[in-house]
Amino acid sequence: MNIVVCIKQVPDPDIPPAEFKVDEAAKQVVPPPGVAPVISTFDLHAVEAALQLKEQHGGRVTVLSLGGDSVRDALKRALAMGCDAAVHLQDPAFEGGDSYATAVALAAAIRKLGAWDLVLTGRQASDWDSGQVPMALAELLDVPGATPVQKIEVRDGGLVVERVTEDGYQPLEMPLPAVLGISNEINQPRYPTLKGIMAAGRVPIPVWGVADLGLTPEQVGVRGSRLVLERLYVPVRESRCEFIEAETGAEAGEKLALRLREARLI
Amino acid sequence: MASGSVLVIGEPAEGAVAPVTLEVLGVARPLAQQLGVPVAVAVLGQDIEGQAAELIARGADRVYLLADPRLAPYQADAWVPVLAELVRDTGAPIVLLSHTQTGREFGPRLAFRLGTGIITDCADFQLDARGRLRAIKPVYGGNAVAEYTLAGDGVQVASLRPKLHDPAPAVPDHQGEVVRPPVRLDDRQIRTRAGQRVRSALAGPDLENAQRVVAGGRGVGGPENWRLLEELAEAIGAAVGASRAAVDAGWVPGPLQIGLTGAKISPQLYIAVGISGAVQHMAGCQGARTVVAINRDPEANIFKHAHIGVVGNAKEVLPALTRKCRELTGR
Amino acid sequence: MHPTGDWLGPLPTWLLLWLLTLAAVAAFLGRAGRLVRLLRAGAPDARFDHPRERLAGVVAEALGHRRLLATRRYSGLLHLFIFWGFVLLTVGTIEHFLHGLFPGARLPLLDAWGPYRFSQDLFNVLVLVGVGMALYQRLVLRPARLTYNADALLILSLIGALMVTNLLASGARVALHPLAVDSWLPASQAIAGLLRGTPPAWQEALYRVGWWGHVLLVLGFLVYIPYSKHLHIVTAAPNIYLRSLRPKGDLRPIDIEGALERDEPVGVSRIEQLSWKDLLDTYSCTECGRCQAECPASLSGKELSPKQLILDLKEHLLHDEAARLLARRPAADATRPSADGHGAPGEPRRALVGAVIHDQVLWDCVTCRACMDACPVFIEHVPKIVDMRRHLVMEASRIPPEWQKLFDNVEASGNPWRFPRHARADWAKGQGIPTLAERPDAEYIFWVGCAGSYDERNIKVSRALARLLDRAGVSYAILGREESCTGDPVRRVGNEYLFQLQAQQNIATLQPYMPRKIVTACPHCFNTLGVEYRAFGGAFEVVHHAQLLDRLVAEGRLRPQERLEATLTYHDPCYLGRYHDIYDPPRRALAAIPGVRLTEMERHRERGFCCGAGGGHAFCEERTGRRINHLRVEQALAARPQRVATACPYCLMMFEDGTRAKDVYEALPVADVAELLEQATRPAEPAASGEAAPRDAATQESER
Repeated sequence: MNIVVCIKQVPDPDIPPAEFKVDEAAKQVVPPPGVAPVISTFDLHAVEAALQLKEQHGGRVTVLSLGGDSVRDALKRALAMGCDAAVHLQDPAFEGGDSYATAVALAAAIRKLGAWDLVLTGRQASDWDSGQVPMALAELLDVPGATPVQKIEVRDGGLVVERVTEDGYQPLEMPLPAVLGISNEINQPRYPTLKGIMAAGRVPIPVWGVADLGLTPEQVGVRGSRLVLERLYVPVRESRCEFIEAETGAEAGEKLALRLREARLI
Repeated sequence: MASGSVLVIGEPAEGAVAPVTLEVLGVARPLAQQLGVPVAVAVLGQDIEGQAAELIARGADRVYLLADPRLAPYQADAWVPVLAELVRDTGAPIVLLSHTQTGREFGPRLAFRLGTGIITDCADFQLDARGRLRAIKPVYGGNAVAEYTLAGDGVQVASLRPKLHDPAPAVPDHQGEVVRPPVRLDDRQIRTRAGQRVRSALAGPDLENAQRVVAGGRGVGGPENWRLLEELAEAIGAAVGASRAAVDAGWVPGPLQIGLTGAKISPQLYIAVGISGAVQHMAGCQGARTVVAINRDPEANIFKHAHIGVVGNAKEVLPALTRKCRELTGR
Repeated sequence: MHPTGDWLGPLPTWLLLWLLTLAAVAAFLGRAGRLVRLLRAGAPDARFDHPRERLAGVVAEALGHRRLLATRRYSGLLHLFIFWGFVLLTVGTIEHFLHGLFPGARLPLLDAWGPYRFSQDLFNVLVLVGVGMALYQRLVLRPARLTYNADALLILSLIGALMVTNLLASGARVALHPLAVDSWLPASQAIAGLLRGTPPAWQEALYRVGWWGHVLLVLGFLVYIPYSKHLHIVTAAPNIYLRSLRPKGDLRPIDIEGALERDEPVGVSRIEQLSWKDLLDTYSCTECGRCQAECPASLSGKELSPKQLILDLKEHLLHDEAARLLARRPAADATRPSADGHGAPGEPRRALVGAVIHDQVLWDCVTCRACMDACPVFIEHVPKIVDMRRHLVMEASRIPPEWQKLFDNVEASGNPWRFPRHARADWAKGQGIPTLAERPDAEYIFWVGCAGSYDERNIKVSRALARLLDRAGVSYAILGREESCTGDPVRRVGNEYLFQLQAQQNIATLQPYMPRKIVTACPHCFNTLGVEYRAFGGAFEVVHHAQLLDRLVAEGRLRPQERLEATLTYHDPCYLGRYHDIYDPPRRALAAIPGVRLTEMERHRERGFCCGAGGGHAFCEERTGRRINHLRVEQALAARPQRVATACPYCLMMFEDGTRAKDVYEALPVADVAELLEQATRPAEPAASGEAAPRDAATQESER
């Protein structure tokens, strides 16, 4: 199976909230110094899912990512986990693009890679949390798709997947080629082996720009976006917490019960 | 057909209207009123006749019933073309849906099919000076807030984060029309075969609908202390949830996880025990009316979101709390 | 009445004896040769340096039974009897065989020498006493550490029978053919006394039965030894001789790039990737179980038993893999990840890591070295475990998720919890603690460590230590944001690659500030900086804060004057105590506080019990059995102290976690040695000068 995984590098979502800063004028997040960006969590699960499918059914996994220089580290990590090839989409014209504009570039790259069977990507990215790219890709590539997916099986040249629902899942069958948005329930992403890390360092990663993808700047980046970011800010949260004073934990527990009763919450 | 309504797309539901649909309706109505257009709800599926009355009673001016066996169970391949045609035919300027696991899938696809964009997982909406939709959306796990509009003048699609808004209130003596547009679906467009939804045995449907929730995190200390939480929950009639830390540590199964990618709850009372209050968790309980936090660390982030706080050890606080609650409520 | 002077059918019995002896020796050598060839299949290991030191160890341990008698003396004593009996009676056995093989020959000097004869007689009895004690232990006392199998009983029976036959033959001989030297043979005389009155023919018969019985038992024993755990009688002394003389805290560094270039493994996934010395370890295991009886994992109900680990390796070597190794057939791919269960054709039937040794067994280890320090034959359990962990981490990528997170966190932020790098020195803000930039001539670099920098509880210890250094007038500075995790936890879990990245980074950071001394409050940092970094070009002079504080008190630069009326027990951190033999300095420092009474837990000093955080376990949950730190808190409570003192941030965290869990958090406060000394040396009045005032405010904050 020829699988393409689209990954996104995002600022580390695990930093303490107090460290989170926004440049309101530039409408951008200011990552704290010395904190390296990471691969968006669900995309890691997508890479793992692709690798497991390759191990079961043979084939090739190519990983794609759109972004600046630091994206190479993300691609190397994916290669170290076991992906066969990587492509870096980089061009000033890509900057500031929303999910759709990004998907346009990704879809063009996927087409350029040649015949493919399955595209996997995380159900949403840990930065903007919009979750549009999986179905945008499905639409642009005109193939069936599903998101969010917690289980994939290949059967009779097609897919049987479980789509996550609020209280369980929905089984779906679809032919290949298809696009799936991957959810975290599906697997545990592997830690790269040493051989993988070393080998990844040696794999050449081609860089494709707007022209390489046969696109024009109007189709991508800010100009190709459908969403307009009007404002970005950190909400001010005042602590209006009423603390229960007590000498011991047990006393606090009792006072809390009384308070809840008083507020008619219990 | 009449043109221009704020169109709400109903969440697939069996029998009665899904509560999240009513939430979106509740948000759509004021927008429609501001724009001076009706608010409509599109219901797709089979055996959906019964939903029209409820929707009209809750303020829908128009209900589109699109009944077809191929529309149930839900699947994107069938819903998207049908909805796209409905939107084009009715010329709705704004299309809203609930950001459920299902809405996450067909919403974007529908928007792109229509040649427009979608703003997903929004907390609230406004209309700007031009009457265009301005969506307020938490981003970066909830650390920041973004406000978006859609470029151009075309149809605008957006999805509403569930459980943040009350369901649309009943509008006394409200009248509305029911429209049954023909469903034109080319079978060749349907490439996917959808099965019936499977309810997970572990899933806590109680969690998402519960009025009272008690949740535990890393600070609970270990699986052996979990029963203290369960006892409290039982004493006050609450559902039990967990933060990701407790799930990752293996103390409770995954479906109990409350958070950005887990269950979204909006109870009247939410008691967070030993939960630090990381934003990804808070994103799951933003809808809670009253948040009570019990945590050993006075600097814990949860206290910035809590209404009532106790700095203390869960092992000491919970038993006394449970006992007193039982005494006060006579359970 | 010569025992081999007659005929058995066509054969003279002396000839029969020759044939039997040669056959037995051949069988023994054949089997021994096979075992030696298997050893040579193992990886190289340099163990022949420092012969004098090595020999001294053999004398003390093998001959002197130092470890065996240090604990479990009953068992040590019985073994002393049997061992020395074996040594001395071997002379007698040689004589016995010479007598039979060369009728007429006599050992000239010894033959009639009374003391020698006495030694034989005495040890015949003492060995029986030893065997009796051993049987009592095995059949009645039944300690859990022993393996209850047929082999052990067979050995004991054989030894007992050897003694009985000896005594029988000797007693019968004394009865039949008394000699002048018999006055030195009280036991034989006693037996002869019992035989008085029986017909000489019976005595003759008994003599023959005893004599030939002894011969056959010896030959049988000889053949059996290399198939039984009793192989240790051959391998124990060599194993002790060949023990590791490297510093205890040093794990074998790997040339990772070189290994990958040469397609060599970076961890152990096949038995032949262990060194020949590791394989010799498996031959030497006596199944005594002392390791298991000291192992915190075993004692808390985990799957790991250090004894079982070694025995499983032995069985895998001798049964699963021997044929392949002796035929020099390589496995399909020496560096491929091991299968969880069954391998493909061409692969071993059972993969070493996964099937023979379960993953969880390897993860259970806290690297406390209690097993290695208890083992009478100096088997090295921990390095084997780490090497197999290295395979799981770097080759097979089968890693528990919590430790994957640990790796990600250390790699991303230079600490195990993913706190931001730039916040590393925040604990020192406003405390008057200089960085090297602010105090370039500092004598000491205070290496704070991750726990001391980021963990709320341990920040108090860091501040206390800084206060103490100020009071003692020690010139020190911290690295500040440049400091990064030493890599100890990731190395222990098996990620040698990430460890080396951290090592190289830290060494490069420290080199420009050298020469300078380093003081640290964390025994793991102490070990890694002072010992492990040497292999990577970092030769640093590192002192642990307990050592420095002890010295400062002794020099009078710190004067503990505030009384602390309390009974304290000191918990020995594994990486300070067992790893570096630093037991006294912290105790002295504590004892210097007026009013302090020190009491010891049962398991203290060399027998200290791990707090449970080692081997990476500070960063993951224990999921089976009881928690090790809970056990340790119970041990502490049994000593009835009012407080617990320790000298390691992880011990501190684990102890407090344990006291909370057992609801004695208030009843049994835990503190670091630095905190207690700081409280004891606090200036009595508020300082006159303004400079000291902020420190006092800060020290108040550091109080509970």
